[in-house]
Amino acid sequence: MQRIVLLAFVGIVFPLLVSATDPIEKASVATLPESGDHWVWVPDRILQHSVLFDGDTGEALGMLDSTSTLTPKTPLFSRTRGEFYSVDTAYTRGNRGSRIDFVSIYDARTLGYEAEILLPTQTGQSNSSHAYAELLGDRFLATFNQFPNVSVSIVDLEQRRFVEEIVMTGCAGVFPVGPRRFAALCGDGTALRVDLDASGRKQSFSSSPKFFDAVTDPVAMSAGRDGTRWVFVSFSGQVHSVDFSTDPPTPTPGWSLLDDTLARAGWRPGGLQHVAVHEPTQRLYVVMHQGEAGSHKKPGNIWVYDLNQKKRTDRFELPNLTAAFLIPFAKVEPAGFVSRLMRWTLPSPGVHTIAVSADASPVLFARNAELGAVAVLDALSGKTLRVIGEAGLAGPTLRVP
Amino acid sequence: MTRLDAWWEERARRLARNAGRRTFLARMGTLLVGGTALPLLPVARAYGEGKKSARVPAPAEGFDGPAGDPKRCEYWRHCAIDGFACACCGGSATTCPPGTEVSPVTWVGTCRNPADGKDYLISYNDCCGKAFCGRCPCNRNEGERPDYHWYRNNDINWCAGARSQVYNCSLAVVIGQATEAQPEK
Amino acid sequence: MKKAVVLTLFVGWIAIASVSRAAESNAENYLLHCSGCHGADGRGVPGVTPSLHGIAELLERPGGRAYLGRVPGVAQAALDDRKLAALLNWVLTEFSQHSADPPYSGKEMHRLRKNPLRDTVSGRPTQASTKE
Ligand code: HEC
Repeated sequence: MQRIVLLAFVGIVFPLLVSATDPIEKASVATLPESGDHWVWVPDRILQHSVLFDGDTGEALGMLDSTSTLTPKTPLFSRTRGEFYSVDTAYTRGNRGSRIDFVSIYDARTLGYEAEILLPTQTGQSNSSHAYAELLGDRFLATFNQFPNVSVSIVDLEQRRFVEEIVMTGCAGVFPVGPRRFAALCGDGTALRVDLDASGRKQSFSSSPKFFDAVTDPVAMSAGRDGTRWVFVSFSGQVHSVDFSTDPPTPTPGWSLLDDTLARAGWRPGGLQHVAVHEPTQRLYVVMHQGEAGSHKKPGNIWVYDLNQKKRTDRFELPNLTAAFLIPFAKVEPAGFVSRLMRWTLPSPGVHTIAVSADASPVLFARNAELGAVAVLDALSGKTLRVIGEAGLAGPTLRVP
Repeated sequence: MTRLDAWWEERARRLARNAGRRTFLARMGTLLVGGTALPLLPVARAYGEGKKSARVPAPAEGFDGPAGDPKRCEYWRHCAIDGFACACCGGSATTCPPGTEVSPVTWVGTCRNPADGKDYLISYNDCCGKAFCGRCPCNRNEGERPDYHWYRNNDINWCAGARSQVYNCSLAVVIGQATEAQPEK
Repeated sequence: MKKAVVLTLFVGWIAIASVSRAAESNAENYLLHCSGCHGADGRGVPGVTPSLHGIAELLERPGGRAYLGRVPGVAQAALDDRKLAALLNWVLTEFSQHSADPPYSGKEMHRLRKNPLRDTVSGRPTQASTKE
């Protein structure tokens, strides 16, 4: 009996008392849940921010701003530290004034700003910025610089300070290999392995033998990581897997994505971030199109290869991203007749960019750089799971945190 | 950082020592007197202390169709442009929009002019100091190469050396005639 | 005798013509492969790219000769060994009024560019340096 009275008080009287003094709702700030395997950062070069989406629901979870006036570098995530990092460039008066380059640190649950680390170097800026800013492990962050020196700046996230600038003229990119090791691609057709000492300073350089030709058949900067290896794909479709655990790095013999018939029909890889590797299943995803010399940034469709068998295993169908982008602007009912008509009639130009999650039931994200819509595919079957609309306006990159 | 600063300083000092010398292109003029002339076009003229090089066959321009129109991505000089065509932004293929600045560092490639069948050296200087022009976005990549072959890369922001490295649009300046297409083609 | 004169004149003409043609292709190669960064006048952009005026001075430093062939802008240029050697020789005389002695040959260039310099800051020869 006493209990019933107590329950009645808690259930009926108490809420009445509270609502009598407080408004029904109160504004507050959301926080992120524990990070999901199928999250994706969608940077936008026009809106100057990166939006975090959950690929399982298609919902936006939050965003990080960027002061960069080119494509924002995709935010980096350290699960161990519980932080996101954003490498940025800003001017004191908006688009003029003196320039600063810096790393912003955000809490991974609140997305609130925590601290910044100023860089004495000028971060490279490029439309696609592949391998321009990467985490090597949980302690060191590396940024690629272009002017005045071609170099990499090492940042110590534990001590939150800039460590040093490593000059590597004639090479480009930061391809992480281990907590104190990364690789870069060089203009003489080799790859450079850079090892750091315990404090993050340069310990050694080691160059691979030449495995590609920068003039006749260069490999793209978009590449897939496979443990201590990186899988590079050339303009003509040669696959070069380079193992950076050895000193010097070991390129394995190249193989082709195309048989003679396909090559003769003009099929070739292309896009902006058009190569992805799912390490556990040794799947290689490449965006392919029919083109000619100079078409290496054209969008296309997704082909799937088995890295061990070195052969194609699948081709994925893509949803109509033009329609997905335009339907919200047209303000028509998404499930209605006009939307269906748009999906059916609008040309779908293919994608420039793909990214795959690392878990055992992976999803593949795909976007066209000129359309603010992201396709979410089952990375094993190729089935379209959903299309995320209103995913910004334009941008050539994606990153699974 | 001091090591790097000292390194650049030494170069700066050397530059100052050489400041009194005649410019390269004034001397290129001497070179032209001899054999068949290497055609030198707008940039060359800019450096030529106001003197126009007499024997310069300019490329055919203003012909019909998109390849003759600087506002089109198909414009013949735009064969490896990545960005907004300045002709749509208040400038032209050779002039930056008002209030912006020409990047002093740039990359050079060749394009073939369909009207005369000749290859020309194209300098893709960026215009800098104002945000995206946002009009006539183009992305053509004939002979373009990844970042490690950086002097043929059009993804890089070439506004280095300008006061503000904020990218506005891209030029396509003919700096000379080429005897053949660039080796990447 | 007349024949000899004609022949001499002819050979001389060929020589002059081919020298000027070589100079032209060097100038063209310079515009295509170097001028974007170092400027058409070779003066570079302060704080961004170095001037090429007076670089001959580097030849007098220990390791200087190798350095000029191994700087990636040179070593990784999309030119064959012979044309690249000719271009570097031309750059030296054009902007420094000084030629390498002996001039760079295709063979030497082949050897040097096989091993491009990666750390161009600490690898740049200094007066006192004995670095190769
Ligand atoms: C993409 C820009 C770029 C291009 C193209 C380029 N260079 Fe350079 N060059 C540089 C930079 C930057 C340096 C400073 C050292 C470094 O970091 O490589 C340099 C250094 C040099 C040096 C050494 C100068 C010194 O004082 O130490 C020489 C010589 C040189 N370049 C010659 C050339 C020649 C010849 C070409 C054409 C075949 C060329 N460069 C093309 C950017 C370039």
